[in-house]
Amino acid sequence: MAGAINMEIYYYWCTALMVLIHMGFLGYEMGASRVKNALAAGVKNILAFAFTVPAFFFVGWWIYNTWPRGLYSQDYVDAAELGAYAAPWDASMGPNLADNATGVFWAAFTLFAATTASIYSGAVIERIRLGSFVLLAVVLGAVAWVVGAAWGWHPDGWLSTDFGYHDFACSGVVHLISGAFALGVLINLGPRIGKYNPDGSVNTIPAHSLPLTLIGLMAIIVGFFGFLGGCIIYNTDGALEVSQWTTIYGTPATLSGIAFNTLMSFAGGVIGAYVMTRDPFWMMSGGLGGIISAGAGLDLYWPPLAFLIGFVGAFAMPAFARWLETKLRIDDPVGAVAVHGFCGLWGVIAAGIFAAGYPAADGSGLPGTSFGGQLAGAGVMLLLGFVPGYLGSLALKVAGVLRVPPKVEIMGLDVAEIPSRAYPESAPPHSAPAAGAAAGTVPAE
Amino acid sequence: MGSPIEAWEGVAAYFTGAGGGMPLVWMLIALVVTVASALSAFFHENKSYRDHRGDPH
Repeated sequence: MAGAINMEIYYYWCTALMVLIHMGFLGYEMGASRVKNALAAGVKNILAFAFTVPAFFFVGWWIYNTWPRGLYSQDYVDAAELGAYAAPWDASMGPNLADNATGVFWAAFTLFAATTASIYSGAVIERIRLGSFVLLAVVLGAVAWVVGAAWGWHPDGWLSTDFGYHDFACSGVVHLISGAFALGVLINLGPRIGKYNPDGSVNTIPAHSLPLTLIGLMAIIVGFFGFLGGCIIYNTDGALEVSQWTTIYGTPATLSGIAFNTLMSFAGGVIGAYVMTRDPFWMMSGGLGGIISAGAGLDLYWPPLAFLIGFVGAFAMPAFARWLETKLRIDDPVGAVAVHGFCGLWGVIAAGIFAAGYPAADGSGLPGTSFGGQLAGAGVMLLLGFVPGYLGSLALKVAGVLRVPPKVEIMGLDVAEIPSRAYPESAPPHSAPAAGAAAGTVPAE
Repeated sequence: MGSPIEAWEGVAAYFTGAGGGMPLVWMLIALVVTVASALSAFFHENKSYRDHRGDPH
């Protein structure tokens, strides 16, 4: 029993630490917005967290526990029975003295789910309608990424059992899926008014508080220690001793190994982005991108290799963001597609390059880590994110409810939607310069 | 590069390349990248100072 309680304590505080990710995203997104949209960005972010929690309770946890073999499989003809213990009405889904595990595991997964919603949240600030945003956040947080987790981040997931897919810290399952989802939504949502000039040139729309954004990013890094801690499985032998930490795939792992590689890849990411941009926004994003880049093999890498993988990912990340912005005309104000999508993709593939050949769990006889398996997993994660993001936002666009009216966008969402003001003692939000005004340009409408 | 093990039984150090020569190679590359990045800060600063010579702000 003591072992079970120790396990409860461990995951309980991992979950608490993960809330810092959401504090970070809150500051990050509010800071990245203009004054006229600062609180609306905050409201959106807070609601992404809040709506994901019940949605994950109602359907997400059941999907994770029921669909590891695919949406339908002969192995899982009795799928409903298989996942019955994760149905929201099951006795394990509430206070229960006979079950110390379900609540804390559910909570940790819920925070993972909320993280996916927050990743997508930053990309769509300043022009998406709140109701549509929440609907899409629920699709991502309670369905899309959960399917990816069931397939590629589950002991019985077909991607791992059939292809040897290895994604210790969810580079693909959380980050690539969320980044791809954000890209799908951004294609239909379109850029903010004033982002592009009629001649095709690009305006920089500056963040209203870069310091707030930087502090937010650092809070996300702190929260990542809870996230990464939640990626390791605390096994107990029923007594006081922990028998062995493992990954979600059942392979042995240690928290010490995770500590080495988390810090080394973070540092590599910061330095890589510094060398590339000299810009503090990208440097802190680079810290995040570095960890994501090394995430899939975070339990396996030699620490200097984790440093280099983080460095390369974060070095290339701003160039990818610039390419999206200038060539594809994707307006992603926080670089979510680059930080999470690009680095997540690189992270999954890097594990296939540098960590190929690791065997599956003892005696399982299943395929080990391979480049082909990682490539297959990357493709699946890309589609699991992009397709629902694109189709979901397309449906909302056709219905005419995806984007706020141009007049409201120019006036500012805070004035239109929020009963309070971010900075009531300074200039009113509606007097803030229009988009592009700082660059001497006329907003394109 | 890659896994130094074929099974998990009796394994101690299991990081990529453990027991071989690649860890030393990665460490040397990481060391060079770290030092070069620090040196690049000097070059960046010197260029910035030159570019802003005479700028009252």
